[in-house]
Amino acid sequence: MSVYRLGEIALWVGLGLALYGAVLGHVAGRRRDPRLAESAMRSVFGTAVCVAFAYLLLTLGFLNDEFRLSYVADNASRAMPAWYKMTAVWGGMEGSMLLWALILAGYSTAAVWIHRRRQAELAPHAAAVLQAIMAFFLGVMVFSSRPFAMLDFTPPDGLGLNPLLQNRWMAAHPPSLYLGYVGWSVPFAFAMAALIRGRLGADWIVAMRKWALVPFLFLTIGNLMGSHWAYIELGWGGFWGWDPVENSAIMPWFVGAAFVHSIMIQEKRGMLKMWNIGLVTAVFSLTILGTFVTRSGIIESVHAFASTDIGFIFLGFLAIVIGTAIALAWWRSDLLKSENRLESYTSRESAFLFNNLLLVGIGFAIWWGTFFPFISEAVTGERISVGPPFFNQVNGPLSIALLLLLGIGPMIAWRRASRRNLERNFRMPLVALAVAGIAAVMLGLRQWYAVSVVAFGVFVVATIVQELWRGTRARMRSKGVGPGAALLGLIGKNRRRYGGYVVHLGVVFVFAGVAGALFVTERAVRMRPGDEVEVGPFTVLYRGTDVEGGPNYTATVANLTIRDGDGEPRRMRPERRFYPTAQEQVTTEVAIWSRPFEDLYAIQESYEPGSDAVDITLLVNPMVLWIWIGGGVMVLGMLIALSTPRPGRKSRRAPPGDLEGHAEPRAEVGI
Amino acid sequence: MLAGLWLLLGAIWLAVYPLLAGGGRVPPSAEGVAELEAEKDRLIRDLHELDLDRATGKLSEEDYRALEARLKRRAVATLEEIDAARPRSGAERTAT
Repeated sequence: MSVYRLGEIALWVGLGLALYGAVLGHVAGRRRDPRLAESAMRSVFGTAVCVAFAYLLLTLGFLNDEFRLSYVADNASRAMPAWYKMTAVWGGMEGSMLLWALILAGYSTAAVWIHRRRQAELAPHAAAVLQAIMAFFLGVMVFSSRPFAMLDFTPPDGLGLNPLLQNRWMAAHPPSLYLGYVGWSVPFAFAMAALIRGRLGADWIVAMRKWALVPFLFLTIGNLMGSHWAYIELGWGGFWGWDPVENSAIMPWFVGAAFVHSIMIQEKRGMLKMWNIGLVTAVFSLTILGTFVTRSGIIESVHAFASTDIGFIFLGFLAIVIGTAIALAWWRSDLLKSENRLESYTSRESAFLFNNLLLVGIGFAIWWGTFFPFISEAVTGERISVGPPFFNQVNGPLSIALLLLLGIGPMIAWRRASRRNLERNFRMPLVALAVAGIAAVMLGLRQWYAVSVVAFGVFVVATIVQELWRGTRARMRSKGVGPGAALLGLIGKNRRRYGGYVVHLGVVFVFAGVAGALFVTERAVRMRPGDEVEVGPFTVLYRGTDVEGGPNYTATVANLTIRDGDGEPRRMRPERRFYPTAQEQVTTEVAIWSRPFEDLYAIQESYEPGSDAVDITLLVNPMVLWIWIGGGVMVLGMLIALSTPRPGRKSRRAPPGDLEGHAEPRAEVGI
Repeated sequence: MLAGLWLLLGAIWLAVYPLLAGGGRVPPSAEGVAELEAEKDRLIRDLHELDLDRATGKLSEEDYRALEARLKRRAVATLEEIDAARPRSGAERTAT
């Protein structure tokens, strides 16, 4: 028997353990039997062992060119470098499912291990929900998308990985995105556990705050990487094309962002309990949908859905997830009532409510635009697509309103803000907004979106600077330290709040980068050696084309020399690569000169060997670098927020009497 | 191959062992106290945030005093509930 058969056996054993845990966890929770609970929770660890073993075997299959395995033959070839063979494991549906299961196993193990005592009542139920999710994915791999399916013969070579996926960003993008997708299983599982046990106070929300932030962080990284990959690999000059797969990855990000904000309202004010259950269910459902859309190509045609069982399997699973969540929420509706009412529209919870409506609105608009072709084809038989103009027209105003709220929300206190406080807090940022808006118009900006981004972006930055300055000043006074130490201390002691502000700053940078897309200059030219062409501030000289070989491709490489004024000339070498083993595919490898305020982006469209002529498209893309800088700043902010010490760790050391005098614990954390 | 089979058997053993060994290591649930502890942590954090909101000019002195008094009343009540609940959960543990 081939050793790879063990992979299939491991999946079967894992499935058995997952089903065992899915049932036993609920029984244990209901009977409050610690022995059963321990067994159910340990089944999570057992399943993790099985899945990790199966993943290891499949990776070995790729590294050893085991083309008897149908999945390996479809996604690898002998000429591929070892690194790409390892990343090819998740190059298709079957391996993606296995990666999903592996990451879920990791998250589940960590969550159950950490919370088995802290949330002793919820943990067995949460383990059961996580095991039910695991059982679904293992069931798909055992019965439908089998990663260890064997061919009747051994082909001499495989088809190879899609060359577009042979890129370092694409190697890192899927795992990061999956870490973002799969991580939402944990807050969803604990939400369902809280519903089942009827413990719907702040406890589960507080416990899940970091479990929501971690996948949100990875979704951010995954989307940034995917966007960067599209920019440097797809060769059309843009970073976001509103493609169904891209949209599937960004939808959970928007709804997840809403959840990350709205849990604060439940935590602080005991409000939005039902909304939070709805949001976490929506995010989790969108991650399942995203995984499916990414690998199935279902949006391309409704017929693709009908031609395979897997579409109905995923749809059925989604129906069970959503149906169960609705039924449980209905059952517990009495416990999901708000403990408090909105005291004022000029309060932080009110600003968060608007922010939630906008984030969910954007998520819904993207969902509608993405699935409209599928829905229209299913209903009318005619496929009607909506393109980028739909997404831009709908999301443009919503995103601008969201940008404005980034500045407003943090400046208002919880519960209510007086008119005097509002005037005091908004005077300087509003002056900055007005000055920036007028300056933008006077400098020649006419598009409403660009002017709004400049004005509102400056407004947000002004609010953040004001917040930091006031907090630093207060700490300087209370601690008697210098501004640097006070600023670091302020951020260090209030990482959650200031980490959030850093994220907002990153969002402003991303907005600036996105607005730059309104001012792209494009020029497509045929060039012969010695020809010169001007585009934007650049002069481009073509010096001829080289033919070069790579490990599994040959490439035509155009040699360009770029000058900008009197600056040092710079070489750029856009390529076209021909992959003989991978479905004979041709890819473009663009050349990019990235500068703080613009990128020069060169695409080799075609090459004529006889005359050594090339067709070159040159684009000047303003501000693109700020998308990646902004993304990095967002990630930094999330890491700061995540580094907040676990709730209760400090306060437990403080004797209860401290609350009366509140000298020690509050001085330690606040100002 | 054999090592792989043993590994999978080990995974099954990991799950069923608590049933065969008798007596679990999971402590009896103290969820009532856990929820109160979470409430206490939340109130302490709210008090910190209140200080920060006052220091950064979001609250008037009058609003600050009123909100602080309300939070402290709730915090003291929560601490009293925790103190009352703790011996109960200890008794439950002994009984189990």
